Amino acid sequence: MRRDIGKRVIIGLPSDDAPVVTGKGIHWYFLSFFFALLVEMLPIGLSGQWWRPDMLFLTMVFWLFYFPNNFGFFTLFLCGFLLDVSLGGYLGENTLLLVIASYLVTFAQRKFKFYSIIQVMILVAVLKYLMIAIKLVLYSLIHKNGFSVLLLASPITTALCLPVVVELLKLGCSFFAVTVRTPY
Amino acid sequence: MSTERQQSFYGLQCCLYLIVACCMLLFDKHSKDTIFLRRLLSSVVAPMQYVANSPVHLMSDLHYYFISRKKLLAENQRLENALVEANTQNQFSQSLHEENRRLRELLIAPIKENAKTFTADILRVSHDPFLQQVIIGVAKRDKLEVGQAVVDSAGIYGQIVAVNNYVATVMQLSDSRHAVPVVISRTGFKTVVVGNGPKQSLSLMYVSKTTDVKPGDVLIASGAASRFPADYPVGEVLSVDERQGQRFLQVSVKPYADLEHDRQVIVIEPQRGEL
Repeated sequence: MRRDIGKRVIIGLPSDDAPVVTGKGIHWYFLSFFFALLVEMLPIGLSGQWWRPDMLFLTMVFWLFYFPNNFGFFTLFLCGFLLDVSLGGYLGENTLLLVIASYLVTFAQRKFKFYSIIQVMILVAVLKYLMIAIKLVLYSLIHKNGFSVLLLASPITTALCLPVVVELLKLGCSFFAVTVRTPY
Repeated sequence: MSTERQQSFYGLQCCLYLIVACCMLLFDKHSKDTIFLRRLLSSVVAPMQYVANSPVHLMSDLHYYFISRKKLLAENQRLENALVEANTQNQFSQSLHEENRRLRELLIAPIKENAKTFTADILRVSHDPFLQQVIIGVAKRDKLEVGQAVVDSAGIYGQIVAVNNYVATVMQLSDSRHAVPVVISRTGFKTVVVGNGPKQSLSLMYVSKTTDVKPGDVLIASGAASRFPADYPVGEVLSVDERQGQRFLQVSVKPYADLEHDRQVIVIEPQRGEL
């Protein structure tokens, strides 16, 4: 799951050897998504919205990287719908983006097996830019919309928040007695 | 299960959810039958929104609790002065209103009774930069309808686009899907003002190069679509650009409503048969 090679911290697991969360850990799995949704709903004003890190996306990345066998699309699907309703957007819009992103994260995780936290941060930023690009295309198909350079800010803050979110979620894992195995 | 089979199963699952999400998106775009599903999900979301909003309310309450007496007295004085000023203006507007009524009677035009209004708290701002929307709290007695106009103390703010249990979604003027029929008060020229999306500004549509429009012109609602109250201020012309090769002027408008900082808005109840 996590090992230190010199100063580099490696995260990521091959999926066939990934641990499975059971028992009380399942509660933490759902709670983490619930907290992520709550953070997404925190009002921070229009100026702050450009810099808001995507907590749901980061939570998804954590579970996909650490417990890929535990990850279910249904949770993501439901969270996406709740976010759509909360934001007042089209139903399915966020779900679509999250499902695409989760598939790409899984693909990357299985392809390369290991990542340093910096590499995961870069991956997160790239995926967030991809999500924004898909959203821009989606919105241009639905209705005309302007583009602002500030749209490019959120992926950076999302990537920067990753180490904090990972540590917080791992704290939760240890509180709920989720065994974080080290297979290597 | 082998890894390959696992991966193909995962891919299949992903495709299935993608198809369902796309179908939902198309269905929501082209049909209004998703209202029931939205209301159901909003019952789950509404308590979460209240919980997420509670730290802001708590901070605001703490701020008022610990505010100094001196500041309170100064605030009280300022509000008293504002009240006197507002009362004076109100008396003036009442005389104008009376004069307007008499003129309308002369023109045998249908007179609109003073619309009923109620204030609503803005619970949260949509953090999606693509949607200029806010969520307002609604009590059950407030019978809201989609399309009702929303204003603030300075001008038109937007309109209600979705009503769910306990909350309603208000689309702001600056949303690219929003349009308001307006009149330039100086010249009487009628046009439509549309939102510019993430830029938080507005622009006028189809203003030909011969139109008399200049920065500083005040735009008021024309009331043409019977959705927004007529004569209510909308915004002010910021700039007028004439670009070569384009048939129309590029007119940028600054909305009067404080779309970024408002904490409360006023919802105008429609007259029967108005919507």
